[in-house]
Amino acid sequence: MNGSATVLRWQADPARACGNRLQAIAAEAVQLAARVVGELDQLMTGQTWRGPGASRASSTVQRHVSVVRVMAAAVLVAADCVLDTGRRILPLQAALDTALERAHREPLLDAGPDDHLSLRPWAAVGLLPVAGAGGFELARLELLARHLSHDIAHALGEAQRIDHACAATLERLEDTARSLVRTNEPALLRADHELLLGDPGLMDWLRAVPPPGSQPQDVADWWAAHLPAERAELLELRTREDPSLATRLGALDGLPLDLRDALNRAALDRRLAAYPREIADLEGALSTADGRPAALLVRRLATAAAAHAVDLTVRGQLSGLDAARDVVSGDRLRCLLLVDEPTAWGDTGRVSVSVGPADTAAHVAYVVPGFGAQPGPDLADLVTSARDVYDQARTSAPGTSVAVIAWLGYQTPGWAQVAFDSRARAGAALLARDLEGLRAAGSQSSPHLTLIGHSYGSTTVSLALRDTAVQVDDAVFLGSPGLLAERASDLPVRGGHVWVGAASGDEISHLSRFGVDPAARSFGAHRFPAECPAGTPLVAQHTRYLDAHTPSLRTVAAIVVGLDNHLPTAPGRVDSGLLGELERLAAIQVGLPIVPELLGSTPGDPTFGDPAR
Amino acid sequence: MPLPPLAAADAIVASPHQLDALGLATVDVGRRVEELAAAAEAALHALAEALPRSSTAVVAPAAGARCAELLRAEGASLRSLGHALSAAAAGYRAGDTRVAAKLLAATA
Repeated sequence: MNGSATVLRWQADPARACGNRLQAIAAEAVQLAARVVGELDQLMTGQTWRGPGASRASSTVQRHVSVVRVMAAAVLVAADCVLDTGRRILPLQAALDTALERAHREPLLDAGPDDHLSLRPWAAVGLLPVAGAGGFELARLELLARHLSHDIAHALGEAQRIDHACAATLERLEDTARSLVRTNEPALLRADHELLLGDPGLMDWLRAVPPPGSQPQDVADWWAAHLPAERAELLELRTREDPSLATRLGALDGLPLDLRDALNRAALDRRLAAYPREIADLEGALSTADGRPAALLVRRLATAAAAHAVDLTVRGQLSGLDAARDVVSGDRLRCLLLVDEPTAWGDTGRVSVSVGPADTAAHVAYVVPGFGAQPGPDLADLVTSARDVYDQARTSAPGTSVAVIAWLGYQTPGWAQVAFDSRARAGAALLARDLEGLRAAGSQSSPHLTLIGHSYGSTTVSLALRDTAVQVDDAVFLGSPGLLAERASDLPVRGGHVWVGAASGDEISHLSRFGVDPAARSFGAHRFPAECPAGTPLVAQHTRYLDAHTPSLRTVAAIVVGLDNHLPTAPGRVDSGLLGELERLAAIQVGLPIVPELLGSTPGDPTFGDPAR
Repeated sequence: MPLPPLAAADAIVASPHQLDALGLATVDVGRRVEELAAAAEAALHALAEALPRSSTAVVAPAAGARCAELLRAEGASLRSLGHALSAAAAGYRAGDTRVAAKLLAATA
């Protein structure tokens, strides 16, 4: 059989499938090793197991883990090579096919056993009698034979090259397996460590920090695949070499929350120390610039000043929380800086602060704000709300641990965007990713989760529940301008665990701008009393749901800690929202009879006279 | 290899259930590594069949066999190590430090 016949028999799909299989095997082996390391970490770092037996077992486990990891690295390199081979087969076969088919169309060309094309011996004799044209035809055929032979030889050479490369890689795989059997422990650990220092494949994956926006589970897997020494190397050495790495790591959903807190705080302090110099440099440059460069400098200066303001606010809030005491135990309050990106969305910033230990708490709640909320001007208010919910929740259930997250994690709408749901959609995706990050970080087993959406934030929460894989135990909607769900039962929350607070005088909560008013009886949520004291200005009625000492705060805090068996109930609204009201007024104007259904209820109906209207 | 003194030195096990968890995980991982060994061998056999009369086809089965042999051995070691750790955890829980000797023997 000649070379082209052999290459044409190669099967690309099974080869690629083999590469994919090997890749999956390597990835799983790394994860399995990481699982054992994780268990061992828990045991050793907590000093819960010490002594010679512990040391011996630990080093033995580490040794086996290293063998599996080194082997996985070799398998991964082989997998890449096999995949590459599989990918190249079809183009090579196509090139061969084209050349051979072209040759077959020329009866005077003959393919030898070495795939070389030549004129058949009698061709010249046969063509010579063709007066005039015979010479040209002969020359054309010779040229064609040369070209096609070259194409075939090139394809076969390429096939041989990739075949040899693949075989060599597999030989190295075999060598690795053979040498690992007899490698002593120091050499093995050195090999394992050296793989970190730049070899391709698995170790590149280990060294490459996942890009922003990576799937939290991918980030968690990546982190879990590192041995403790590698984590230390990554955090100490590499963040020293590249200060921006700390910021990038701190923003990665899926990393342990306490690690993100430490990285974000370190990056915050570093930025705060650098701002005066940065701003002075920009001002200095601005004093000598004009025209377009000056305009650019002004923009950079504005961005730096805005980021500085955000960071100062964050620093101030953290200082306050760090000095605070738990309302029940009197212990120092633990808070975590989960997200701190002062230049996100230009001058806006993105911040998320956990009041209480979100990484270990049994109950975790997110407070999602609405219209116009930004870290610079509004973080303090949102942290205060989160703190009030936290204090109340701890007071209501002193024996349980709670964390309430002030989540300024999406770009809230300004006046130009508030009538549309685009910001809510984008925010829902970010909220889902942060929640997935909490789950993937996995330091606690499935905390009881509550989402609290206020105003436009309630629309954001409803979209996160409707359009993403978010799974929570309770959802609370406060002062909602409308949800993108027809009924509470459309949301993936246990029956009876969709809660609504809507004050009668809160006009925003009557808008139904984005969909159904969740306070409507037909929506099917549990509406709880959230009225403001008499005389409260209408505007303030939209903003006081989480104020300290209010009944609505007590209810929300009870929901957060799962004490929801006997919560007070307010009657669901039966009107048709503000738009319905306008229709009703329009009907009066044109003299139409007002039917009871238009009003939504009639005297005698127990829900008639909803306090909302 | 001489064993270090046991009872006093190894008595610090504040959390036998964590030790047990390590043991169970190690058994589980060992078993799975053994399965991966078989999978890797099968994949490389399939590669040899997909590329007939190639150098790769000559090398792949041997590489698969060697790779599988090593992973199978590692898997088996992890499995027995995991059993030893769980046994030690049970011993610590029961206050019987003699099982620590068993553990040390298994992990040496």
